[in-house]
Amino acid sequence: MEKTVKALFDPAGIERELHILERSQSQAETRTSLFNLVVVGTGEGVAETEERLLGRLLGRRAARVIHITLDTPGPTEVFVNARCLPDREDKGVCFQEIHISAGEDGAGTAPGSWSAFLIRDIPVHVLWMTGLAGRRQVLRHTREQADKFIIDGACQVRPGGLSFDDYLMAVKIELLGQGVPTADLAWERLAPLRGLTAQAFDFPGPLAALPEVEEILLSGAGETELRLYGLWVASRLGWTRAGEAFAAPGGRLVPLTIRPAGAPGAAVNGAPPTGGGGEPPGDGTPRGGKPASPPAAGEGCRVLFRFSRGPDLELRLPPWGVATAVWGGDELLSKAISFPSDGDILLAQVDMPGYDGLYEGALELV
Amino acid sequence: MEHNPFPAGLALPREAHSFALFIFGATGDLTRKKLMPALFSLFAKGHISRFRIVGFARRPWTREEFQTQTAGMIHRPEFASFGGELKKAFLDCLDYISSPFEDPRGYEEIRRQARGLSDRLYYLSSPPSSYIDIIENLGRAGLGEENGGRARIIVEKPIGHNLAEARVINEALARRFDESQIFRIDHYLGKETVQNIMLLRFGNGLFEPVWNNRYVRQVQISVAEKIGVEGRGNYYESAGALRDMVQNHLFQLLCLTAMEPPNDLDPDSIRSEKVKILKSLRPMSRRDTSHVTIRGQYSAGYMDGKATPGYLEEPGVAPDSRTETFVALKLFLDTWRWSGVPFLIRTGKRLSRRVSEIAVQFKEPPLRLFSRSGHQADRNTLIIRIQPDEGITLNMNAKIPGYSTDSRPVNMNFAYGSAFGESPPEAYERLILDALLGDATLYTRRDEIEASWAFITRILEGWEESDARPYPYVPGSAGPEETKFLTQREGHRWRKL
Repeated sequence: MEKTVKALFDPAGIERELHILERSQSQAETRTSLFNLVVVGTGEGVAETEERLLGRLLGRRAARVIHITLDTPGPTEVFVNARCLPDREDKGVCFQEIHISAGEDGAGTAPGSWSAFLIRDIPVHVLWMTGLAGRRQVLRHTREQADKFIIDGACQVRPGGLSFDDYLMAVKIELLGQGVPTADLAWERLAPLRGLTAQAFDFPGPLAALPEVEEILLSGAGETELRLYGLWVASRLGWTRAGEAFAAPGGRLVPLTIRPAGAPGAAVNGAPPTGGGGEPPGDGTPRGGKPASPPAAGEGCRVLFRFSRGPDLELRLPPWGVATAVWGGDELLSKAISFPSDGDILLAQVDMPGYDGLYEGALELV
Repeated sequence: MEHNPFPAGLALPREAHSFALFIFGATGDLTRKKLMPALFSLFAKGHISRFRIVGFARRPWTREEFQTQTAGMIHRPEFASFGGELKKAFLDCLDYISSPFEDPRGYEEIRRQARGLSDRLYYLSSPPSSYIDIIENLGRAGLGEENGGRARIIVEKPIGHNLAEARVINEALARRFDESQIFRIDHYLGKETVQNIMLLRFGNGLFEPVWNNRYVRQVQISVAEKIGVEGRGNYYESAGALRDMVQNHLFQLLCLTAMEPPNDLDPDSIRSEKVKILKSLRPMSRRDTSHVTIRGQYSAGYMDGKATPGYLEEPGVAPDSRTETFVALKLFLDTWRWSGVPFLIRTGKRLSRRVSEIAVQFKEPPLRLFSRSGHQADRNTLIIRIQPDEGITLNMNAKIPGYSTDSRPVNMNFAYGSAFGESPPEAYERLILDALLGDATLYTRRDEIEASWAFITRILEGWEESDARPYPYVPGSAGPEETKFLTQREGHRWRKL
C-alpha cells in the first residue's frame, strides 16, 4: 500500500488521478464509495490517531476520505492517494484519499477548495479532531456539508483546551443547536457500561433502592467518559446538576466521585467483587491477564452505587471477558463484554444515520 | 421506583433470559459444525449470559468429555481473538446426559439440570426417526409445561417425508406443546440475504407498485449447486431434490417473493401471509406432473477438469435409483396479484455454478417506441442475488451512443457486500437467539409445513405412478435439456446459470 503522492488542485484532475491510483492498488474489481469522510485535524500527533480510527474502516467500507490538516506552514498543498484491501469476496475496498495541507494562504480551508471533492448523493461525515473553540470559520463550512459530525469529547477536555462544561456548551451551541447530528466518541466508549447499568436495575433489589442513591463512585475509564456517564444517570433519574454533585428531586445532594484511569485504584482487576461497599479495589491488572490498552475505556471500569439503605450495587467491567453486577455480595448477572475500540465506534457511526438522543438528553443538564 | 428508567433509548443487544438448552443428538455433525459455534458466538457477543447447555445422546460421554469435544468445536479462526477466560466460562456452562432417546430415565435428569434457570429449550437435532420418542418422553415427564419459565422446542428438518408423516410429527408436537412453543427450523430463513428480500420489497417504495401481474411477466427462482451428493447418497436416496430443497428452501423464497405485505412484523402476521401463498398454488393433478415438472439425474462427467461419478455410481445409491438430483417446476398462484404469472423454479446438484437467485422479469412497455425490425429491446429484469455476490441487478435498456435510437441492455448493479464488507452472522446464531426470545418470525408454522407438503406430496405421487425415469444431464450443465419444455410454450426462457 505504498502511498502515491501527486500535487494537484483541480477536481477533474484529482478524480482522474484517484481512479488511476485505485486501479493500481487493487488487483480486482473495487467497491463503490459509500460515504465521504472529511477529517479535520491539526499537527503530527493527529495522524497516528487518525490512522487508528480509519484502520478499522479500511477493507470494510469503501469511502472518499478528505483529510484537512489545519495550520500547516507555507502554502496550501493537495496530495492524493488510494489504499485498498480485499474483502471477503476478494473485491477491493478502497479509500480514495485527498490530503489538504491547509497553509497560511487560507485556500485549504475555503469550502470552494475542498467541497468539490465530495462525491455527491452519498453521506458526508465529518470527523473533527481538533478543538471546537477558535475554529468558527472552518467549523461553519464543514457543518454546512455534514450529514453527521463525529467528535471526541476526551480530546476537547484537556489542559489548554475546554473545560468539561465549555465543551458540552460548544457541542450544544455549535453542533446540536445547528441541527447537526453529532456523535461523541467519549460518549460511545462507555455504551457497554450504560447497558450493564440498565440490566442491573432490572433486578428488584437495586430497582427498589434506586430512589435512595446516596453516592456514585466511578473509576477506571477516562474522566470525560465517566462524567458523561454521570450525566446520563442523572438525566434518567430526573436529577439536576449542583456543582460537582447532582440534586435529586427534593433537593437531596448526590455526590459523584470520579477516579479516572491512571489514578490509584482505578482499573478493574481480577479480584472477586466485594459487594459490600468500600473503595473499589484494583491493582491495575485487567482480568484475563492482558495489559491495559491505551484508550480510556480500554482499562475497563467500575461503578459503585451506594444507597442510604441496603447493600451497594457494584458494576465491574473489565476491558474484555466477563462483566458482573454484584448486589450485596450476590452476583446478579455476569456476561461477556468488550468495549468498542474507537475504530469500532467510527465504523458504527458511519453506518448509522442520525444520532443518540440520550446524548442530547444528557447535555440538557448543562 | 416501579419502572427501571435506564433501558429507555438504549440500543441494548437482544438478550435471552436465563435458560437451559438440551440438545438431542449432541454428538452429531450439526452440533459440532453449527450449534456449538453459534452458541459460543452468542455468548461472546453478550446475547446469552446465564445458561446451561446440556448434550443429550446415547454415546457414553461424561460432562468432561462433552466439554473437551466442545472446546474443539469452538477452536476456530473466527474465535481466535477471544481469550481463554471467555472460552472457559462458556465450557463451564456445559453438561451432558448419556441416555437412549426412548429411555424415560434420561428425561428425569432434565428437570434437575434446568433448576435455577428460567427457560428450557429442547433442540431436536437427532435423526428424525427418534423425534416421536423424544417428544413423547418430554411430554410424559411434564417437561413441555411452563411453570414459571418458558419451555420451547426446536425441530430440525426434515419434518416428515410426505404430508402424512409431517402430520404425525405435528400431531405428536401438538399433544405435548402449544404451537407457540414449537419452532420448526429452516436455516435458509436465518440467512441475512433471505431476510433482505422482505426488506427490499416492503422497505422501499419503488418495487411494490409494479410487483404484480400487470407489470410482471414471469418469475424464476433458481438454487443451483456445483457439488454432488458428496457421500450422502444414503440420505439423498430417501429425499431427492424436491423434498430436500423445494418443499422448504425454494418454497420459502417463493413465499417471500410473492406474499402480500403483512400488517406488521408480528411472526403470525408474516407467517399467515406466507401460508396464503402456499395455499394459492394452483392444484396439480397427478397427470399434470408430467407437463409441469421436470426431473433430472446427473450422469458421470467432468467438473472443474476432474472426472465425477454419475449419481447412480455414488456410494449408497441404488443402481436403478429414480431419485431426482434436479427438479424444475412451473407453478401458478391463483391470487388477484399473481394470476397468470408463471413462477418457474428449479434446483439441482452438479450444475454449472453455485447460484441462488430470484429473477423478476417485467413486461414490455405498452408501446414499443424503440423497436425496429429484427430487434426488440430486452425486457427489464430485476435479479435478487442471494448467493454468491448478494445484491440486486436491474437489467435495463440504454441508448447506444450514435445517430440512431438503437439500444442495448445494460446492468445497474448493487452489491450488499459493497456496503458491508464483512461476514454476516451465521444463520443458526440468529435462529437460536430468536427461539430463546420466543420470536418465531423466521420459523415455519404447522399450517405452512403442511400446506407445502400437501402440494409436494401430490407431485411425488404423480411421479410414483409414472414409469418415467429422471432425465439424465451432464455435470456442469444447466440441467436436462427437457427443462425447456416448461417454458417454450409461452415463449419464456430459463435464465442462463
